Amino acid sequence: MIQTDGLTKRFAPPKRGLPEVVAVNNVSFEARPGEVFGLLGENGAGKTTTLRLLSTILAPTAGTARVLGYDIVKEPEQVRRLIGVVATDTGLYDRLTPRETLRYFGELNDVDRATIERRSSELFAKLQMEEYADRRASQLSKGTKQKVHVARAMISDPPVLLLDEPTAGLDVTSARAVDNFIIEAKGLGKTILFSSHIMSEVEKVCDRVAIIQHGALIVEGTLGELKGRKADAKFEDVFVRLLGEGQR
Amino acid sequence: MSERLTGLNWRHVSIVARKEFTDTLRDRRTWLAMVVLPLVIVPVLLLVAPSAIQSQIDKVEESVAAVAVVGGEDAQRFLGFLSQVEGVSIVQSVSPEADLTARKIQAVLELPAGFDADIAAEKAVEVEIAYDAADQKSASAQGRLMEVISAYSAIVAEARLTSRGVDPKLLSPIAATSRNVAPPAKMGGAFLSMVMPMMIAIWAVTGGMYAAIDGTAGEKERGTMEVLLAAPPSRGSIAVGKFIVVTATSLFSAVISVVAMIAAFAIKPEALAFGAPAGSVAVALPIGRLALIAVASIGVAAIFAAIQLAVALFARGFREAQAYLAPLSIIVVLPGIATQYMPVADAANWAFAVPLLNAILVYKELLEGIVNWTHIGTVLVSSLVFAYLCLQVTVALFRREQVVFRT
Repeated sequence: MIQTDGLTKRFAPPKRGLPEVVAVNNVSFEARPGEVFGLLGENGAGKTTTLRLLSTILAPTAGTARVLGYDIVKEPEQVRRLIGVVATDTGLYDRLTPRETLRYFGELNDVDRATIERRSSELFAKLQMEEYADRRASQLSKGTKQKVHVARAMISDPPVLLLDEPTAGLDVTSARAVDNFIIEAKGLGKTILFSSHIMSEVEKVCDRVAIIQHGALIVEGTLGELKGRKADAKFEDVFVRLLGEGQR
Repeated sequence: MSERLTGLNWRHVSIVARKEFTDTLRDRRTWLAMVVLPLVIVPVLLLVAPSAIQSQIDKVEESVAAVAVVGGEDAQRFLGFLSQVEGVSIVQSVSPEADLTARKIQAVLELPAGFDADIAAEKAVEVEIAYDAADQKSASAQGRLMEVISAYSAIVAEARLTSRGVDPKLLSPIAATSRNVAPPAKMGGAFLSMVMPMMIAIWAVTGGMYAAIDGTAGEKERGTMEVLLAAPPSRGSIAVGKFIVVTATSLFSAVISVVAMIAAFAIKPEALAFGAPAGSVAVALPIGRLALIAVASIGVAAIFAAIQLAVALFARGFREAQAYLAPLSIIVVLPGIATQYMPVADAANWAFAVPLLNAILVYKELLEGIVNWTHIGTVLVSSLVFAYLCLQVTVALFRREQVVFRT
């Protein structure tokens, strides 16, 4: 369960004389266990900052959030034990293999060696990347690297997943493997916060969504609720319409 | 927000350190900076460079100086003497000053009219040597001519005294000879203490530089920093894990540089000192003192590891970090240069409390055979306290969003 309560993040102005940047503005929502909650918005809307606040690597300027009851401001270390993060534009340690990367993050999450080895093998099999498990990351394709990120986020079997565009730049096959993996994780009762630009993917994996515009949450609901009476409408059209309404 | 280093999770520290070690040891650049460069550059600096300089000096010394004589029509006796001197050749020149400036000749010797006659009449005679001090060969020719004139002057003086029935030895009542009582090992220690402290300091900084950059600015550039910070370990544990690896890398590099220096000098001890007779200089450093040099280096390595991590963390990427850290390798040389010719016994007590400077002084002591436990202890304590303070700054920076997300 993730509950945000008036979550706000303001950054210092990039140059003197300019106003401060309000990246996230009084955002409140709730993502429940066994549900994929989509966080949608255009570039710069505040999705990534929201996820960074939830992963405790940024501190909110105002408001707070709770992850399985733990406060992100007061109990950041407990929060980090409960989350698996796939961040956008992240890289891997080029000189480590996927197996070593998983071992590193498993150990950082206090998972014992035997469990790490077992889970690594399971994850590599599920993500169809066993043959790359012992190659250095520098030799891997973009798709395989992204799979390593997903596996890394799952190595501690966290109850909460924060996924920021986990399929960005992936080919269809890799993206499908990742999506199926997310759906499977949902079936295991995990709370999943998911941000994406690809509306067909949102329709496929998300149960409920919130749309963020200029840092503020403008609408929240199930896909069906947001589509309204036009149940057969493409969600992409619904998204664009809602953004337009948000501008007004 | 401030996190005390006492609240660290040492299990996390060790996990981060182990990973950083693996990563660092797989990085060719680290190996290059940590091992290959000291192993190559140190012998080149200490053996090849002095040999090259010596061979240049020898070349100048061995060359024959072309000297044009102005006047001297009635100085046949002196010119006869000069023409027999090795390394000097009298040449004809229509415009001697121009030839000297054009470096066609190395010196112009101006003799007054009636030179031989004035000498015979026991008058004082003045001659002038024109030379180009900006030209090594010309400067050498000037020296040689001064010696020739001095020798001729002595011969003339001796003849005058003898003609009066006076023993020329009366003019040199005291004959002095010198005897060096320093055994070769002490000589070696004295020379080592001039060059070695600087070298150790340089490698204690540059050896860990890549590890420091890779673990901070490198993590930012690769995009691995964000997921690392989203993992359970505190920023303090992450920073200290990295700090341990950078310190160890720097220390290892310093030790390698010492080994390279000792090996270089063991092969050619004369390289330590210009002009020292063969066999008069030797390198003999007992393993105990070498170990103490390594111990004294721990603090230096720790201080610079913390500083380098802090500075490199602030940088947006690898190149920016390199640019920020480059001046450190110059700064680190300064205490070495300032104390290069300073007898360590003259060092004030306060100097032993100044980080880096105190390590340089203790290196000098150890190389000269002095083991002063108070000094060694002071160096260790003051360096580690200073390193701890630097590390606090590094940890504080790891906790600052503006620094960690400065990309």
